[in-house]
Amino acid sequence: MTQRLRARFSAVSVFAVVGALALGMIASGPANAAISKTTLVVGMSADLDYLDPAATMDNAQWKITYPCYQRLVEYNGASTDVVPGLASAWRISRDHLTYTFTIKSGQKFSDGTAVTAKAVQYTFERLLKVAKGPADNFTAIASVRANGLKTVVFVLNQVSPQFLYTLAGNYGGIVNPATASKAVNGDSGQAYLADHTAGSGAYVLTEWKKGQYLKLEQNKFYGGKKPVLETVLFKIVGDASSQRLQLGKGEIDIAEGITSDQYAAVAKEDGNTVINKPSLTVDIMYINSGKGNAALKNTLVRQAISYALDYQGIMAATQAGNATQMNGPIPDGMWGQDPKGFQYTTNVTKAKALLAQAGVTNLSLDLLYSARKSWWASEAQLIQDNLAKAGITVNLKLTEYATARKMIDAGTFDLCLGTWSPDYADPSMFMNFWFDSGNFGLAGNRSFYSNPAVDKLIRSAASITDQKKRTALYIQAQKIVVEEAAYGYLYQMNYRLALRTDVKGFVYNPMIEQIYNLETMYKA
Amino acid sequence: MKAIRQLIRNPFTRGAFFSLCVIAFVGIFSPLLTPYSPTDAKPEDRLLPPGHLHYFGTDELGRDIFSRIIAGTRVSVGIALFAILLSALVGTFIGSFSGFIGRWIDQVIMRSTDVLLAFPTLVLALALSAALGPSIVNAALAIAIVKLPIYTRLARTQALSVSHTLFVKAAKTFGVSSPWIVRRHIVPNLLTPIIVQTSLDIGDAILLIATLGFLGLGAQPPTPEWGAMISTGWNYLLDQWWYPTFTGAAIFIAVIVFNIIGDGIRDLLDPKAGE
Repeated sequence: MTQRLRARFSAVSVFAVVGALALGMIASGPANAAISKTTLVVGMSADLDYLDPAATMDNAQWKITYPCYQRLVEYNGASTDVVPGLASAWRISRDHLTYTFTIKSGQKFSDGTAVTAKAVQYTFERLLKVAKGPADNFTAIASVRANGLKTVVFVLNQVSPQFLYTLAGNYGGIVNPATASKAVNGDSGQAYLADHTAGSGAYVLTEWKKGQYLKLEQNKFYGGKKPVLETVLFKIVGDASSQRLQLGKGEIDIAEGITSDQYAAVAKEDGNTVINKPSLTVDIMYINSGKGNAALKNTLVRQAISYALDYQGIMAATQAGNATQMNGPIPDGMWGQDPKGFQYTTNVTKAKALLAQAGVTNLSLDLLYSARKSWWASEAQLIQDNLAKAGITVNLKLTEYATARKMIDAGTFDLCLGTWSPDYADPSMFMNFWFDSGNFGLAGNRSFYSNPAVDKLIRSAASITDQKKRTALYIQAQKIVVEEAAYGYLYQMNYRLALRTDVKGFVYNPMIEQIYNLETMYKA
Repeated sequence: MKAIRQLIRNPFTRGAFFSLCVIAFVGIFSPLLTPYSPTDAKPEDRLLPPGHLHYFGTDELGRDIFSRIIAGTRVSVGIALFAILLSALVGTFIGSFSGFIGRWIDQVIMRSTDVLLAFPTLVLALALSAALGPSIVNAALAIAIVKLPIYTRLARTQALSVSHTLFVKAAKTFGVSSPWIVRRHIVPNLLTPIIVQTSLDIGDAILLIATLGFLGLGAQPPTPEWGAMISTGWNYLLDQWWYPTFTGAAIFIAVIVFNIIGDGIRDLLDPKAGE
């Protein structure tokens, strides 16, 4: 009897939930500004894990660390150029191997100690010692040495045209050397910095309630202009519908978790606005030609897959059309892109012909993806459907994010969905990371693609500074990797963010996507 | 036939009985009844509201929700039936042997069912289907295992009382083998409570299948399973209400129908419940 009641009760509860949500939407009504003008509340979909600038490579964590640390150079508003940050000036030697920075005076860490050249030396020596993802950007550093309190000298072991730009990335954040005392078991303070900040930026992480919120408050010793926002709360609201309701009620100022299909409706609601800008983030499919199904080693099979994909349909279904199909690995808006690059179009007949030519029948591939991006589930199902029409069976492998990352690193998949956004405005962010056979796995070459001719082209392009020559080399390499369909080049997406209309001063910079310029934002 | 006539005498169970016939018809002939392919994606038709072309609208990949719900009837109801029948069959035999033979075998079997019963149903089903790997067959197996102790205990209790009757004692005296006694004397005598229990459990099993599907442990895409459809659909509730609503209604109706039928059958067969 009780069992029967429970069964009925659950059936009713399905309806009750549906009804309650619908009622909630109607009841939300006009907005009531519940938050003070000096507090910003950001709704995010998931909690974060570790915040050490020497270890994290994830933009989601960077939105906390970026305003808490300062860098030698900083991005200039929305542009991809860098301007003085902690360094008031710098000199580059004629051979491009020595960079000398002068530290700005009056800058202080959140504990009140001054930012010195020693701190810069400590930061980079620590970063290289920790040797996690961020260190891959600084392999060119031979030595970093403080010369007095105000001068720091970087000596490179090879010409690195993007070096100055990597310093503006999150990993270039200068860490307070006092954290050295927090080290346990020689971890250089990684455990401490995983959930604390120790920088000279405008904000400090003051509270982190796991699963609930992270709270940033102003750094009392900040050397720059005092920001308007006193407190910034990053509140975890897992469910997209709740985020939308809370945004409508003014309980949160920014909703990061709005799903693609909701933006149009959210923008129409009173008091909300949606930022929609072209970004340099691309959504691609890794085609594992190194360690995946043996058939994928055959260029014809990879081409067949590229012809079978319904690019327009995928963009419509996953981004509601707010996307541009890629023509090669480098997105539009980044120099070095091949404007005349070949673009695959949907052609199922051709895909079938290529498969027949390759002599491949009954191909069955595993498509790996996680729930990290809200649109990947739809994208995976569409790709399954597209490839089925060409006669390829696709098994969907929805995997937990951390496990999926391990599988990507180990190459235990056939196809996999991924996104990539550049950290600095240099095409090497795409070409050298994606195609260098020395970068297999999470490091960047997630298709396990290997072609000595491409290796040679991209390596020489990354070791010279002449932009014209580099462009020519990269275009040559692009022609090969597009022809050989090393990846499924899907689309370049727009950056969309839903916020309250009273949030002012937000500047979107495609180099530091998902990061807020809290120092200059305010509420009107 | 007589049972059905009795079942439709009550207007409440009559409605449920005809609904059950409709569900059975839809489940059996679902490939002939779907106006569109339930799995073919058509991104240009995505998230269309209900209309004369798509009665229940379309989902995020442009698939017709009406067709998917029809195709899902076979999956959701069929798998639930399969799981419960499997559970009842295996449980009946384990239970009747346990009750008839007794001794240490009975002890082992009964303590094992105690262990299984100690877990909340859903938690155990989740753990099992996660361990077996997400697929619809494994979800059915998980539900069958979760429901097993109920049938085992029911059958055992019944077998215990039947094994003390004169005709079983007589059969034993004549040297008839145990399997034969179980098959010919015990099982026929415990069919009634088992049938009642089965009919009461099917609604629950449909919900369990949907729950596992909702959590991603049941049917895998693009299989049109109701729980999995709601799992994706509820993200669209605020702007595309039709997506989760019609699917939720399908689950609601199916479970209610099976529960009412279950009640009716119990009233019919259970001598203690009769007026």
